[in-house]
Amino acid sequence: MAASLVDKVMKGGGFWPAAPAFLYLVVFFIMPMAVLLAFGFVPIQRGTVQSANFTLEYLFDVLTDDLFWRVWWRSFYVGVLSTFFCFLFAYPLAYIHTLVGRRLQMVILILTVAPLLTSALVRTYAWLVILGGRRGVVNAVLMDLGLVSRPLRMLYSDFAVIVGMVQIHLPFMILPLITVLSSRDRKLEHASLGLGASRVRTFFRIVLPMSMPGIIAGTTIVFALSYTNFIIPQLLGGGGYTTVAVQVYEFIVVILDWNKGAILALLLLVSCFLFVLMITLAGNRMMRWTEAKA
Amino acid sequence: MSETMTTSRPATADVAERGNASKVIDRIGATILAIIAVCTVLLLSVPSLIVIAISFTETAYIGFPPQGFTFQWYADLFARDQIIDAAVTSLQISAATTCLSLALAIPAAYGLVRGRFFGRGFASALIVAPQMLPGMVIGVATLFFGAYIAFRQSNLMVILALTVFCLPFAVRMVMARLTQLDPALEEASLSMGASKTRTFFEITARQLVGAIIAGGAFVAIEAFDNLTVALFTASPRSRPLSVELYNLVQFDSSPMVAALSSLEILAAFVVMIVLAKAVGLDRLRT
Amino acid sequence: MPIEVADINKHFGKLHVLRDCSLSIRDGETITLLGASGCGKTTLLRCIAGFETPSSGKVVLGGEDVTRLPPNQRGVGFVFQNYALFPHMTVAENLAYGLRVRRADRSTRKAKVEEALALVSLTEFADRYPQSLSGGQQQRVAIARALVLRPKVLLLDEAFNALDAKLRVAMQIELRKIVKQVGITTICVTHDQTEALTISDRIAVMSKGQIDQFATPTEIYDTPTTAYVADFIGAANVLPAELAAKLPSLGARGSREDRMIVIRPENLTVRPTKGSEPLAGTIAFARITGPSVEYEVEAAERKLRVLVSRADHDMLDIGTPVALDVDKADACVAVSGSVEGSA
Repeated sequence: MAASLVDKVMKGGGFWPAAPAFLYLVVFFIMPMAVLLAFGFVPIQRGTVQSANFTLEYLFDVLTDDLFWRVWWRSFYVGVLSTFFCFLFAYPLAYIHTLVGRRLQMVILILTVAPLLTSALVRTYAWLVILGGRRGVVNAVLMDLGLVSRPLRMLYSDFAVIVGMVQIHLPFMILPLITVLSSRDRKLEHASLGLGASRVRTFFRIVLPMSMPGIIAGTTIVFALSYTNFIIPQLLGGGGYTTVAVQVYEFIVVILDWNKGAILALLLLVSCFLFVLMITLAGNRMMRWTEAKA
Repeated sequence: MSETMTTSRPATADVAERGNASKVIDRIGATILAIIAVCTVLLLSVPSLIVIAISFTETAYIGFPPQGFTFQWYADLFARDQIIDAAVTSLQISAATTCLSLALAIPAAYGLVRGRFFGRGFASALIVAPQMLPGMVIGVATLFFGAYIAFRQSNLMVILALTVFCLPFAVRMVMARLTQLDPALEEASLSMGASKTRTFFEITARQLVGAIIAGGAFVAIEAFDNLTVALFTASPRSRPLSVELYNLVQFDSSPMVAALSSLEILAAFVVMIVLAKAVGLDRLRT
Repeated sequence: MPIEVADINKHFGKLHVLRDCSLSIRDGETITLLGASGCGKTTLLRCIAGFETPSSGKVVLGGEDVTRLPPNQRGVGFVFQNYALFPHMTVAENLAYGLRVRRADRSTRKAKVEEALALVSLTEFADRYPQSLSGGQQQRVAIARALVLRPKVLLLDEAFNALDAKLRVAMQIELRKIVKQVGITTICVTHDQTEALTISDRIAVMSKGQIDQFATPTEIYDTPTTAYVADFIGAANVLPAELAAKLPSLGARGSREDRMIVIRPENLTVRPTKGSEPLAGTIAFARITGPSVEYEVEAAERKLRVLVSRADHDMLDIGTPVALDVDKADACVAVSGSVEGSA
């Protein structure tokens, strides 16, 4: 009986197996997102709708606030710098991964995947230990070596936040780069070397442009993650350090101003999509050669 | 070497000189590349090792280098009911999220890959969409939706929201395997008289085991560790371990936090070794 | 079991992939659907197997209309292009799968599997996994797996494609023997004309979703009914009737002007000439193909292929002006249609 029912479901066209997931997402994803959208434009008090009057008041409040723009600017440059340094550190390792033997490849892959399986919170905590106070790892080493006499203040700064973001998001940059680099055609490099180009020139003129799809994938993911992360700024940036994502958390959980929280969350989401779109479009312009393939 | 070899002209002094210059540049380039790569390797591994080292210190504060050796902080950890309860809560949430995600993801992947129906592109886009959103947005949206329909923060709310967040991982892993799978295997089974159901369980599902394990493991780990969704959806009275740890990190400076973190690192490492043995590490890249 | 395919049409969206396909296949006969890729031959086979449902028309297996039956209720054996052996089952388990579905008891299963493995001489490979077998062995497992269920008909979809050239011919002969020994009605699909000639009692040549001609290999070669068939099976020179009429020994054939004349290369002759001939040309290319010489002759703005036995013939140089004629006028047939880019 049950089996024949399953049979019928599977026979009734391809959609039915996907129907439960589809329905689930409509109820627990689309509808919540709709409520989030509504809460940005309709007055809310303690989670209940006060009146069904559509208002742009919250949006205007935020957009005309100088503080918001300063906070947004910090979110933006933290995102950009984290992405840039992530790329800088990820690329050489991903490139070397394609040049070494199977054993070392495995080691690099394990080193990359392992942090993904560890919670980001634990890894952020590690930076508290490393950068923190006079007993932090860096200061302890520097003072033992006599390089500094007083502990440096490293925690609770842009530096600490960006270091944390770079380390925590590295795997998301390395993995797409490894994927695209290991499937590349080595003959092109041999051709370039054969034509008299140096290895450095070959790297910048051949390898780097050919890995553009991986670069776009990695940078968009890392930017989106860094731009919307609120845990790292809270822990490594300290009390007064706010980004848009941190503000969303504070307005919703601490201040309980859900209208403002909702509109900030929406602004964060929309601006994040716009930046990702811009990176993708700019990247696509740089790799128009891929279109000829089709 | 290859520069001079392929030049048709004889190797004049000029060419040789240029060859030497580019050789120097090449050596510098390779050195820079290697230095950065070593830094990256250190960056990936050292922080975790430091946390583990510090968890054994005898001092009551976090400091480097760790002094002495003690399991005291681990003992403290297991003596705290609050933490044990949180760990149990997290395990429950993780197990429930994994089961729910897989139950939805496996048939969904099958329908999306094998089915031919109107709006398939839209359906696939919807099912992987939550992955593009930050966990915070999903957490906030669920919290608001719950408030709207008078549904309180609870373990159930965490599970429902985390399933939205994790579903794309699971669907994509199963889809990736299913796309590689020759549909003729299923047709062969049908032509031998097996029903569609029997074919799915005896043939298709058997080929998907690796992807299901990998996807399930990823969901389980994410659901256990997740903070960004849980922070908004968990009830203050039964907090999962991640939220508990978040509070400890902020307000407790004893090495007990390092001990808890070390245990998580250890668990992640064990899971990865098991996964690597079971399905191969390459699979984890998708 | 006899198979009746009646007026099958199949549409995929706007694509009309099968047009009024009809076949009537006798019990125990082996036939081949032959055609270039995209001609609809695989779709027709899949309609017979039940993997596709025709838009209109009927499939009748042994008197029973199975058009609307799903594949698992049709009792057909199918051998797939890449064999589709279940990788997680041993050879014996692959063979036993269909028997388990039919709830055969353990001893029956064992006996039948052994019998089928013996038929394809793979008895000692029963406990191996498919990946550890060679391509030819995998193919024999696939055939045995289909035959062990005693299907009404055996269907093979490009089953020899994955084999290298030498093994392919050996396996084709092997298949022919097995099929005749079992006495099962068999339909093969291929784009390889030699394969079709080797294994079939009759061949259905398909183009653009239609069956052009359904006849024995000899008939197909000797009396093709369309220019496409003539060109697809073996080499052929397809000439407009008025041009062919200029060949001295042939004369006027085919009453209507739109007809085309098929002349096989081995039926054309060349001799060096100086004077003006009704149909003259020059040798554009010559090569030895073992016992014969093959020429490419440029005449009347076309390229014609001529195959001459080397036994009593001095090879002609490129550029030699030649006169063309036919050997046997009877062997030239008139057909309908035309061939794009015909030789």
